[in-house]
Amino acid sequence: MIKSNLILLAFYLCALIGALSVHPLKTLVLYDERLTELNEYSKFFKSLKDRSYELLYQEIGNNTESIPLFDKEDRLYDNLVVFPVKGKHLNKLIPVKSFLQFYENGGDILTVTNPDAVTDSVRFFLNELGVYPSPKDYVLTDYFEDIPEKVSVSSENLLSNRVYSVKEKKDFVFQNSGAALLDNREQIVPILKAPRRTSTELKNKESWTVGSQGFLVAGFQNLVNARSVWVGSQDFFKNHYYNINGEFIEELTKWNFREKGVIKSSGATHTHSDGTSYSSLPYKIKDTVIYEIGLSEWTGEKWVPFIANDIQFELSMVDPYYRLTLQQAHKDETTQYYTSGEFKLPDHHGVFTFSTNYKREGLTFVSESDVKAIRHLANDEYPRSWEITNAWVYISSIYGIIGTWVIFVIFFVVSSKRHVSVEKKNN
Amino acid sequence: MSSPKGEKVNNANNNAVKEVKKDKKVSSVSEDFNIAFANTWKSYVKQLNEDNRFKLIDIFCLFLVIIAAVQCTFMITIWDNFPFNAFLSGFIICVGQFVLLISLRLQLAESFAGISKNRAFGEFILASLILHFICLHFIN
Amino acid sequence: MSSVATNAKSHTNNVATPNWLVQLIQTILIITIFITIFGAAISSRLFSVIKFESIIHEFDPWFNFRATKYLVSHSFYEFLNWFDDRTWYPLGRVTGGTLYPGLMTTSAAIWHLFRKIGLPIDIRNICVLFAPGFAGITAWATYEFTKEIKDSSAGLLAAAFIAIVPGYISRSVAGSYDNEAIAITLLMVTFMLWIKAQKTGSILYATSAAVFYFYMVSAWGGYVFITNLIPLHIFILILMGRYNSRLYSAYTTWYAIGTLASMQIPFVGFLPIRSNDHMAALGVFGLIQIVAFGNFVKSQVPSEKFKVIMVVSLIIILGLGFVGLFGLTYFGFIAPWTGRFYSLWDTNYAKIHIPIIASVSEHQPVAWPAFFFDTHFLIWLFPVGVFLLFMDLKDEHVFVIAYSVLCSYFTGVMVRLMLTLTPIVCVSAAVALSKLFDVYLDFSDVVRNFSHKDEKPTWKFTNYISRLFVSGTFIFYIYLFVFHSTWVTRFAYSSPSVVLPSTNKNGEPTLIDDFREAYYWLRMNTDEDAKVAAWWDYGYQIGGMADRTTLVDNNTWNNTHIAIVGKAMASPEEVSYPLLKEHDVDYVLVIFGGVLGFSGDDINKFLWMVRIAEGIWPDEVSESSFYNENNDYRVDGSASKAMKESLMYKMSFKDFPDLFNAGQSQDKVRGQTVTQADVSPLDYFEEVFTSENWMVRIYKLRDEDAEGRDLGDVGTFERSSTKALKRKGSKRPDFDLRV
Repeated sequence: MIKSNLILLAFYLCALIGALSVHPLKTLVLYDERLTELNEYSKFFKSLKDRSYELLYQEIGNNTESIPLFDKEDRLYDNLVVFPVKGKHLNKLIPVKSFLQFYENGGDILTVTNPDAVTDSVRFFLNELGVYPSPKDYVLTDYFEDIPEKVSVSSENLLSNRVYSVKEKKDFVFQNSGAALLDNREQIVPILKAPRRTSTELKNKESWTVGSQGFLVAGFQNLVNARSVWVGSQDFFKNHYYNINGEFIEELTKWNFREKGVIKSSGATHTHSDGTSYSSLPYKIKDTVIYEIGLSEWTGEKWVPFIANDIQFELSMVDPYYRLTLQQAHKDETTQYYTSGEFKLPDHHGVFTFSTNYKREGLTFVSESDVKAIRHLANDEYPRSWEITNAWVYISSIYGIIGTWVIFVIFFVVSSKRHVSVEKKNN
Repeated sequence: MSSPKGEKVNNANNNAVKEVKKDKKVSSVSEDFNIAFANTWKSYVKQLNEDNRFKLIDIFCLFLVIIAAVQCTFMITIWDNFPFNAFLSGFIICVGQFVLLISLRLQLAESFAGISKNRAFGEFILASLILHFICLHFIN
Repeated sequence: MSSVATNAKSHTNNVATPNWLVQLIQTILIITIFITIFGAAISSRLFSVIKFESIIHEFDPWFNFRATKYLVSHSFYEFLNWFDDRTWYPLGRVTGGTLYPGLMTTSAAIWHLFRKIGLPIDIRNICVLFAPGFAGITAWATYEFTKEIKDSSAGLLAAAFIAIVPGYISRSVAGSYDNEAIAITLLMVTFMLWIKAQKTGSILYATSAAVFYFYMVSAWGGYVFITNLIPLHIFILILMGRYNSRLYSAYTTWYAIGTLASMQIPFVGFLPIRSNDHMAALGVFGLIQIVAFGNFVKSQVPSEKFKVIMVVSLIIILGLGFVGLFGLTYFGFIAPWTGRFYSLWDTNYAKIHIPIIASVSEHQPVAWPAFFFDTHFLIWLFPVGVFLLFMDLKDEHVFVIAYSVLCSYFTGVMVRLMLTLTPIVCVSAAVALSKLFDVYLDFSDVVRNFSHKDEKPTWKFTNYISRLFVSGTFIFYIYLFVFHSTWVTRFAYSSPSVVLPSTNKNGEPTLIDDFREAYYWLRMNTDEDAKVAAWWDYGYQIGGMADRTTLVDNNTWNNTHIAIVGKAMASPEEVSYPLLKEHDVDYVLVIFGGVLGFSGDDINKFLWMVRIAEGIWPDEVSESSFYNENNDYRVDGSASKAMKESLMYKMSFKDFPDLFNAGQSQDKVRGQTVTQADVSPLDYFEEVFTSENWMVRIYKLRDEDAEGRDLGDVGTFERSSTKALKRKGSKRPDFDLRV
């Protein structure tokens, strides 16, 4: 019991640390002076600052010498915001591999491109995520608009409730925007698709996207749960449109920098149905066991129970043997527990994996797995002979024979003595 | 334990064997058989009358055969050999005890060089004990 | 050496007229001889410890050692029900029910015994010295056995032979902690007791034979040999008309108790009454009942009549028996003969039907020189001995002859059965030699001549010369034999095969310790629950030395599981990776001998992996695709595409060409030059360890890509230049678009 308490304590500690680190602070903003006048985006930056992000601005130009993202092994920034950058400077300063390294190390990245500035390293980085933004000079166009390059996008094109949903319908403004093609990877979170009337065009070239094939905002979550968001237009963030786009931007960055859509497991446990743990009594075939997992969701301030009805548990040995949808059980302030109820282990010994793999679009991936051996019956765990009625016949005959044997031996000894004495008399 | 009883059963037994064989042979051969068994039977009875111990052994042997047969019939009637180990130990103890008895009987009839009859009996007891132990262990 | 010389001496004493003094001297001599034989048997087996160190050898002993350690640290009950989740991942192995526990329980008992008497010895040392100790007992059992066959002088010779014959030493040097180490001892003890039982008809001896038979069953799968040999002996004797009631009481007692007892071993279970391998014994058991009855009848009936009766009854009984056996097998009550059994008769059977059996080098037919190598001059004394026994042909001689004939054939089929042949070779040779010495070393009349000087000794002089010459020659042979045995033991059979002897550039002997280096690395640097995929040969060693979970090991009970590893090795990495990942594999270990010239490496075993995988997935793996256009199995530039793409090839040769100057990168085992162009990069695996001489290479499965890309694509991406990326990126991507 003490041991399990310790484990619980460890979980709480982890939860605390997780709660702190789920809200990263240090954010590096990269921009190109030629394209971005920071003042024009002050509302966007202010909203970040209000949510206690520490913003560091780094201009990319001829004079920029180097932008270290790491100090040896340690990541220097929590988040990276990349505004459009022209030319090849950025390719040298932060090559695509550095972006990937930063991202795989757990840093969140917000990239913004503009039709006149799709720098290679950013584009290659996005390509590796399966996001293919339109190349340089392709512009999202809607000929039905007054200004074809200024597209208003209805909130009906929003795709992910986890990221942002509106109460009432509204239009967002995308001026001078590109659009991206997305591949079919599960980790991609499409956020906003292009309206059907639009296409991404460049003179004399085949259009990059046509209609709702293209996406204007796309998210990505990698396996370490770091998130990356790409937005096709810089003007989308401008103060000028902030009263229209502001709410969307705020929610988008909240998702991007992991203030929402974050869930965690407080650990999965499995025990015998009477509560005995595996360590004190290893499982054997056909035992009844219970599996339980607790999940919490981060609201931005605190952990609350995470409610869902599609959480599945899997018992597998290469192939799944059981796949059970878990039921809600008890909950406490921070965690909702889900239970499998009692179930019987398969009649097959081996090393089994008890796992929950909860991967839903827009939520952090939760996966818990535990490998445990299920042993065969020991020699004395099969039904004993005297418990089987059939065997009584055989048992009684064995004892009968032994009994007869004893009688036989006695008689034999007696009769042989007599025999000997008879022989002697004869002699 | 009286001798006539044992004889009767043995007699019936031998007749049964005879009859089975008779059916399958031509008459001249069956005559041979008849003579052979008559002779055998005579000397057998003579041997029995000489020594009570032979009677004891034969009765025990018969008892074993009956028990083995009962077990087999039981298994065949329920057509299920489920506690197979139990059946085996039950059956083999009969066979094992039977052959041990016969070995003892052979030695009593005509003792082997270097082994006295008493020693043979001692060895018989030891072997039987081992057999019983294993059987009990097998049926657990 | 001394033992053999004294041996000859004792012989003269035997012939001399017995009185109490001579008898005393004789006893003292025999004891001395036995002490020297024990000494020779044990010390010659210690070469491996002296040359190398006190270490468990080869493959199977590592499992036995691990099991023994488990037994020592747990209770016997736990051992019996041991479910091993660290082998055959993820199936696990019901180890307690699938091993022969005789060896482990014996050594554990010895360990406990030593502790009781206040000598706590490390279990490893007991295991290492186990085989030499039991070799001494084998010598004693052989002595008793041969004594029953001929006389004690032949027995002493046989004991001396078995003590140092290389054929037996090969499986019983110190450290060779295998089932055979104890099984041969038990085999000889069982046979010795059987011969005694058969001679005297004593129930006691038959029961002891049965008890030792049970011990043998608990120790080695080769017990089937006894199960068939003893009934064969009886059967031949009955055919020869030598039935007597002693045979009846010996055989039936042995069979009833032995069979029942053997069923107590979980691994054997109901086999003794189910499998055809054991049916001969049952048949003879039935037969002997009938014969006994017939014999009783026969004693009362005139013989002519009896003949008719016998013939008719026999025909009926045989017919019924045959139909019964056939019917039972047909309806599945009795298991048909097992694969290994078929392969005994048809040497090609295994190759066609069960590659897993054929792939074991021990199951190959023996090479003829090996007979001479393993038994030296005994091999040509062996037929002489058999012939001499044939001349005599007592009941027990029939046994030796049956044993010799049967075993000679089987040894021709399977190398490992050489071991069971060796004892009988020693016995027969000892019989022949002692018979020879009986005649030629008999100088008793010389002594007599000295005492009676009045007779004329002169005409016998040439006779002495020739006697001296003949016996001198044979004593010289014995000397050569001792020399040969020592030499073979020292150089051929003492290598633990975990550590390899070698010479460095200066010609000084060194040890190649790559295996242990690698296993130690695994033990120290990987997670305790890491799963290691390697070809099954190394399973026991990884389990024993590195203490890591393995997928397959030398207990080749699940062919499909082995085929999975075979397929992973034979497939291109993008196929292997998901397959291995599915089985939670963390590391892949390959043995590569190309740098050192170690020919037992994985590339040379590779075709077996392919064949075994092909047996399960004929559509995905095919042996023929691993040969190039000229139908050659090659590893250089002309290797086939499937070969070059296979995981095994890539893992073996990764970075190998970089070791040498251009054009000199020659694989020392296959003598072929492998260039950089042949070896394509590994994307799904990364090299984590390569031992000093490149014998063991360990690769780690890379983690899945965080961005969900194919690891092959990641590799391509990592290698490609910016220009290539640019070219790729400016094109509109070509895939199923998300709509």
